[in-house]
Amino acid sequence: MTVSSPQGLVQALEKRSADLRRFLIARTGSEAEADDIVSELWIKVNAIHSGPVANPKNYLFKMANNLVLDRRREIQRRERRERDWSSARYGTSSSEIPDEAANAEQLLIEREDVERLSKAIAKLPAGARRVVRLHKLDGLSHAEVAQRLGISKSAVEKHMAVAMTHLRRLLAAEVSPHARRLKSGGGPDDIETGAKR
Amino acid sequence: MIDDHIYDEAAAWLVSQFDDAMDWDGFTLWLEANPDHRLAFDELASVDAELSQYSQLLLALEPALSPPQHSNPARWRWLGGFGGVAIAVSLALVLWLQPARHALPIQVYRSQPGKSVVVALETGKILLAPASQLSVQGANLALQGTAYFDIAHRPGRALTVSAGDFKVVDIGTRFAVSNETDGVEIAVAQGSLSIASDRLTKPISLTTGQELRADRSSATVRVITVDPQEIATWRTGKLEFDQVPLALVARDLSRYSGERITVDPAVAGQPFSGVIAIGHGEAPARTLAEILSLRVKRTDGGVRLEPRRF
Repeated sequence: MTVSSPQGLVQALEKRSADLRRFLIARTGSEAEADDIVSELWIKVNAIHSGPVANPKNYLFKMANNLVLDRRREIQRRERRERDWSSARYGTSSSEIPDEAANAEQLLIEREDVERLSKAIAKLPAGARRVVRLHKLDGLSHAEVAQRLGISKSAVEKHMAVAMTHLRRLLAAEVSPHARRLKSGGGPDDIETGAKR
Repeated sequence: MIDDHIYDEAAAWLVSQFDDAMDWDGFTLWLEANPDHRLAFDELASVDAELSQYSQLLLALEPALSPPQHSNPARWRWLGGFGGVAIAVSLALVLWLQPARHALPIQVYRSQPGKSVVVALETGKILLAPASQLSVQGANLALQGTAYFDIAHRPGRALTVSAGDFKVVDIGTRFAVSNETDGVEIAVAQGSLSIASDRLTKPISLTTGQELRADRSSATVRVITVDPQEIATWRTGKLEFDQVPLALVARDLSRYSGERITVDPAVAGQPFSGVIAIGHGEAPARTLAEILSLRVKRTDGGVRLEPRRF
């Protein structure tokens, strides 16, 4: 089973690569970035050792979408790290890559993030808050949350969607030194600055 | 300013990604229809990623769930059919159980860069790697960073360790867990344990010499065979790398040596494989530089690895 499945995925990737590229262009707003990610996908798919995949199309699109998310996160992290880093230590070039998890500043930032999120979660409508807790924090799947609360899976998804729009609004409205990254950034400009470094 | 209804649509797409029936072609068309769609989606995805990243810490701050937490609704209706007595009994039971859940204190252990910490629990001993954090609430543990667990076997008593999207259930084993920015790894040095996750279709068990690897950058979870002697080698002062980009190697070395090590962007992506002895101060950075023919430059906060100029 380890032999047949990656080959199946490779075939699926061959078949879907035009669709994936189109999706990635729409998702990132940049042909160059889409091409980068498609080649990353090739490398990843060829390196996978896993069991058979039930729905290769869904799997590949999810994987592509996750790669986009990871890149966005990395850019945000880097921007923020540089901002905090240069404000903490003058005279340091902004192209430094400091260690990520090691220092006390990092822990402070984390605490701040967690407090911000926690306050926003507390302001959610009760139903949405309960679903966020079970799905995002306790890590239950949509189906498990539905069963636990005795509601349908689509009701769980509706609660989650409400929760996400509320959280976004609550966090964006906040006047915090770090709120900047929650505004509509991540456009083509940001991507290019990120890639150059 | 992006319209609220665009955020509503974006949230619906974001949520349906967890579904196997996600309509990716429809999502592509929606994204193509208006560039704001992509921006709105990115914003929501960023909030979603933060929730996942901090899930364990957020969970610790959330109040206990209100009843009926463990009951299933059909059962409640069934009890209702038998009149008030059954309901009163169930409520009393829930009210009695609820404060007990509240009362369990959460203890947080945190290690500084360059220093490991031993956490002695009733059930066993945990070695917390530098710059890591372990929160303990009864038999429920949550880890950020890396740790080695040595848990004594006690019949009927299980310990759970949450690490990112994964939950390890153990009844007496030696194992290592790391929950880092780049992914989760769980390796068993002795015994066996069970691992549950949304990312697995069903819980799997790992035994001596097996390691689960789940990179953040990929949707796959792999199980590989490892030498039980080589698990969590950081305990004995060795860090092993296998094709790891230099920037991440530097991050780990900083963490274990306590010295801030940075890398010039020109070589940050260069992969490194090998074993580095963890020493204090500059020593590990010098070893690494020697192996890779890099230059070590002192900066005001630590050292920096740069390409050599010829």
